Amino acid sequence: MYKLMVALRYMRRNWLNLVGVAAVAIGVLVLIVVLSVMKGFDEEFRARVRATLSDLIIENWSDEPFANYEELMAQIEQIEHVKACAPRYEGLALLTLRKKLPDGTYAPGEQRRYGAFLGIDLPREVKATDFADYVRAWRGKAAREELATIFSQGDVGIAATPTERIVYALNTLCPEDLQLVDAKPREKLAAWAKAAGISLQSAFRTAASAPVEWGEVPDSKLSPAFAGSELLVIGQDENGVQVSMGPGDQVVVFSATDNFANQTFRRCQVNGEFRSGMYDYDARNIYLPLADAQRFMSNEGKVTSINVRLDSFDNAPVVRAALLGILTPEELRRGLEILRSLGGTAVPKINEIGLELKRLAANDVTWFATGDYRAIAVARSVAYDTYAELEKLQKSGSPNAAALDFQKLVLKREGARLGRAGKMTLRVSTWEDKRRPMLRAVMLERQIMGVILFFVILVAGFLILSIVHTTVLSKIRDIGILKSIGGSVGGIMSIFLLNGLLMGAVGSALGTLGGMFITKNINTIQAALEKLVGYSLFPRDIYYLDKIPVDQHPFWNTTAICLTAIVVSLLASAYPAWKASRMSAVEALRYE
Amino acid sequence: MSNFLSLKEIVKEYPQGDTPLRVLKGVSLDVAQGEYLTIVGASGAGKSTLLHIMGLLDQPTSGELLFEGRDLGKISGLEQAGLRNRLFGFVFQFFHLLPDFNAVENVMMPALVGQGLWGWTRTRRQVRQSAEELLTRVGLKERMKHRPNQLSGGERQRVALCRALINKPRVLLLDEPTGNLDSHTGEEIHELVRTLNREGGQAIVMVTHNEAAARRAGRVIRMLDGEIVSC
Repeated sequence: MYKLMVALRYMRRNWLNLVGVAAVAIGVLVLIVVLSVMKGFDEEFRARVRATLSDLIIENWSDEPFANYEELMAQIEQIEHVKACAPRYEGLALLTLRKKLPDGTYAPGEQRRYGAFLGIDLPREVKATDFADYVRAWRGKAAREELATIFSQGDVGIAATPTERIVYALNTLCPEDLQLVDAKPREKLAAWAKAAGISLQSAFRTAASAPVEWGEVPDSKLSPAFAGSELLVIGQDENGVQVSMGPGDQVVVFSATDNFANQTFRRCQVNGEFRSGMYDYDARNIYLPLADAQRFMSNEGKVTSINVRLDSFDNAPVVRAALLGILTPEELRRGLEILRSLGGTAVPKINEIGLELKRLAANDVTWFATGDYRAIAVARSVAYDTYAELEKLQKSGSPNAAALDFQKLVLKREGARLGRAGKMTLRVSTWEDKRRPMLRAVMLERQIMGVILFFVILVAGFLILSIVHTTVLSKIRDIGILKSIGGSVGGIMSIFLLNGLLMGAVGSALGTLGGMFITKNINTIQAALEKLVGYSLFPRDIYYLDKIPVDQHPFWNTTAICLTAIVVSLLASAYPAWKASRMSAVEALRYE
Repeated sequence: MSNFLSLKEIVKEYPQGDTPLRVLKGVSLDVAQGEYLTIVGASGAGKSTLLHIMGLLDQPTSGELLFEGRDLGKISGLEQAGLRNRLFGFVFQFFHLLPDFNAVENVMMPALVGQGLWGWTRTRRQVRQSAEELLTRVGLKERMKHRPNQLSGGERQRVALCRALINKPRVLLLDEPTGNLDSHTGEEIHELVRTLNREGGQAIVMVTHNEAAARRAGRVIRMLDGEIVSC
């Protein structure tokens, strides 16, 4: 205890210790703020990379469309943890943009892009994916004009209560349009919101939760479509104003397949826009109704993928295993029990079989669909056949022979299945599998940043080393005195270890407080800085974010950073403390 | 008598070139309980080294240091530290007070060093009380909160004496305690030491140049070139 007392006294008497504390505090603060913001960005980025992918995605290995998907989806929905399924028909396409001129004709200079069309089943899509969050349906010119009338003529209108009016207005004129047009509509909305006793923000939310609809098209030759926000940008006019596609404009989708006899196209009317924040998706994708996509590709009744939403992404491995499963967990357990009851040398074989099954499962190829895609049913029947055979073998005695026979049987069955299903295989991936390279890049970036910033703490450690070293040098006589009154080697060492530890701990605490303050108020600070320097530090149009995102659950990160800082401080003071403890009492007393 | 504190054939050498420097050449000495022993001798005779070895501050090259029959050279460093804390009290020529602590804290320090985490605050209170009593006894009641650099030489040595006494040691070791003081102040310190010896019953071993002080001690030992020449 006297060690703490002496250490504290030494620290109080030497302002250099404050420098050490400040160094640790700055290191910890920088690490906390930077990693927190990076994690915030990562989470945003993950959401964007994921965009409209659901938890699990089922595709054909060969990327060919497959049929009987309704039946398949019905079976998938039986599996535990599965919440919803949505079919998709995706394909590559050449896209031609056709902007409607005021006189009703289309602009002569057509814009061509390459991209992808995605046929979706809208009601199912919004249940199975986050599609609704990314899409904004335009309500058409008539609705806009109607709204303009409401705004210009006051409360003459369609909706009875203020709340209804707000929701109607927001659904008609999107939030971004409200900011683009003059301030008046926004003021009016705010006044209505006030009268209705709700905040404008909750009104925005209500409007956002309104169901997404394809909207109307003038004739059946046109398909309604949602196009990526970047895809819709045509260019600039002579005044430098951006020209974009708007309501009523068309996109013609040409199928890009190697089936030359069957090159087709479909005209679509853009009824809304899709904006995920990932340029790749926003510049390439156009969404249209599933049936239209199937029809124009002459592939009625077939889809290219099924999106499966689960109750939680944590359950993805379980469901995936069930989907891939030759055996359900229950069946596997039963099989192993029987094998184990055979006893003796059969036991190692169980592991071999288990490994074999695992290997097949890991290969993604194991979910073999038969001609009519009743994969799970077939897999189950095979499994049950196997058990029946096994039980027969068990009754016939001779455990070793039975175990070997069983193994052969399993492998034979697998072989037969491989042969039968050969060209019809489905692949189940998680959304992370599908976006692996991008996610890896982001994670690596954060890890590298962590390592680089760790050097800040390391430098603080070196500073602590030299500070404790100078303290030891200036206290050599004290060390002799303390030894002469009974201070042990450990006691002397502890004094200087405590010196470093306290610098680390106090610095970490201050750094954490500062870091938390900054991360909590980062947007206020950013705004204040912007005012000060006079230009935008966080251009919203580049990041597509309203504010700087931060890590919402910084506890473990902060704990790890603080522990690292404290350990580094302790290690840094270890060497001078050890030197101090090794000093001879007599020599230390004699030291001038 | 010999089983209180005894030194047997103590040799101390310092490495120096080819032939090591022999500071102590086989010194044997017995200290009795409650004895007042003075060691006198010229500078470089090895008096201080002998005192340091006696108080476990230094290790002899060879020879034995026995306390109540126990060989103190054979016990662990931690135990030696414990004995320095409880058994011996040191007073040095240059006072050797901790400059960052005030008088009363300096006096308390040995008691605090001996005290673990358990019961810290209570012990601390008691220790402060006894430290204040000691300082009052040596006439430093008004100077307790002063730091060493605010005290005069005599005052510092009195603080050092109180520090040596706070743990009620069995042996008090004084290394030229008055060497750095004027004769008047030195006399005061000697008087104080004598009183303590009479009242406390501690064995006192004092190294000094002061012949007058030595004459008043119970037993005087003369050293010359690392050997005891007369008892």
